[in-house]
Amino acid sequence: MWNWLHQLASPPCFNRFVAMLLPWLAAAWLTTFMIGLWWSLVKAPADYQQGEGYRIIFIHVPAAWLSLFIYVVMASVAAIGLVWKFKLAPVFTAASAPLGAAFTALTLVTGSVWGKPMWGTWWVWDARLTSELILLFLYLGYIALQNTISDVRSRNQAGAILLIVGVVNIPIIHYSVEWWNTLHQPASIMKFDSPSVHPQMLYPLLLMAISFKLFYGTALLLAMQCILWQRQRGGNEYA
Amino acid sequence: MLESLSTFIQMGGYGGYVWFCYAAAVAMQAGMIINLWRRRQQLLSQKKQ
Amino acid sequence: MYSSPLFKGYRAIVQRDLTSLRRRPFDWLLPLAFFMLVNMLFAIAIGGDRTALANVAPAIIWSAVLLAALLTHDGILRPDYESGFMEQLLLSPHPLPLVALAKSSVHWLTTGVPLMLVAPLVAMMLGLSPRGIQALLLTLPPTTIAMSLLTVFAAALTVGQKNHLLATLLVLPLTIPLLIFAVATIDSAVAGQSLLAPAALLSALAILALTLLPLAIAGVIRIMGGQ
Repeated sequence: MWNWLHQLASPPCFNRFVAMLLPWLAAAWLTTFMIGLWWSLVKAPADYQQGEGYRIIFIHVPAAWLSLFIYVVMASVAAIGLVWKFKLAPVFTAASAPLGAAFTALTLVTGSVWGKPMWGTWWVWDARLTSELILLFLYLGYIALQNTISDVRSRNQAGAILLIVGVVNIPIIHYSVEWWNTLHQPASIMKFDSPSVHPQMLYPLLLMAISFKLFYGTALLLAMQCILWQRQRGGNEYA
Repeated sequence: MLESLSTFIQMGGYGGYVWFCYAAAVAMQAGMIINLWRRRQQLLSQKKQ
Repeated sequence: MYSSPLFKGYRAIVQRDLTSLRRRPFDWLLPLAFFMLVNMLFAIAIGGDRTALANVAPAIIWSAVLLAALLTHDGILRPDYESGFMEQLLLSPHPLPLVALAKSSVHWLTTGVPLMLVAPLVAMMLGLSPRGIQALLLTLPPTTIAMSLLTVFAAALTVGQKNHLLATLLVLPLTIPLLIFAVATIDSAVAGQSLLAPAALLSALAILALTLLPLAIAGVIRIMGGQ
């Protein structure tokens, strides 16, 4: 297993791996996305409280899940890379960061657009939206650090430590923001999570979540390949 | 048929909000994949030179 | 304990840094001036309404404390890095986490403690109630300790950089739990409620920072010093 992982880090082997996996991942992503779109826009019934407006949930929630998922995966890979010195680990995190930041931004935008008809304003300092905004700054901090350190080795290792410190902080930030939110927000704000979700709403939600993760896989492989080839040319991968 | 299509687009009055979110999700994913693919092809052609 | 070589190394670094700071008083006077200026700006912007000012006083003071502590990051490690002292430290037998702890202690003594002395005065000027000032005194030590460790972490990450705003982007998101619990402690005190829960959570955060961050700082110093 370890040998196989180390072998994968060599560029020719990684290129073969990508060539093998990429078409399948892309096909799975497109298929699940198309079915997910149809299910969430057409087949899923309207919500009894929010009417058709709740359909934003099928974009907003999978994007929020993915944004957090990417950060945790990045931190885990960074920790593994720091301990066992995998060559691909820093490439993995560098390729993931812009994707994670993009999905965090998508979560914020869709949350705000959802909030306008439901809450009456474009932004409320709701616990989840606030945590997501902080997550965006964590991503931006990592990307900024990657862009400013010129030495590749120190950039990789310093970025890994920043990610690990960040991931230890994420649950603390999340719970403190939630606690702060219960202190300051009036209870009138609508709760989106009902105790039992109708299966016709749950299945498309899960399908969309899977589709978003498949997109992450597809884009990640492409981005990693770009970074590796750019490094071979000796260029800066952030050019 | 045409009427059901227009109710589908209106989304019970939430049409603008719902379609904006879906359009943003589709545009973001498509844009990223196209961008990455074009950079990949560019790098590939430079590698072959 | 005092004769153990570990403590000796720690004490030597603290003494050396304190001596050099005594020769450059501006390094620790400037954050204080900055802190008072930020508070003054808010007071002027909010205007003569004393009740409104007292209501937002905890928020103003805490934002100013975080910013004042963080803005000193540039002077912590860069002089050592440029003079080659950092390489000496890397080669010395002293464990790096202890070096990180020593650097954080110096930062706390020269930024945290002066802020602790000035903050109650500023709080009085902003019209915070006596109960609120008591709570402020209670929350200042854990918050400034955690802040000092975070600032040294930021200083280590940005040691070779010219862009000073990078450190704020890296560390300010991580300070949000501190801000939340510190402001909540004062708010509960002013409202006459028990402040045990937020104060205990704040102390827990300070202990967590005190135990884990020296390891992270040591890792970053090793990476940056070996560049």
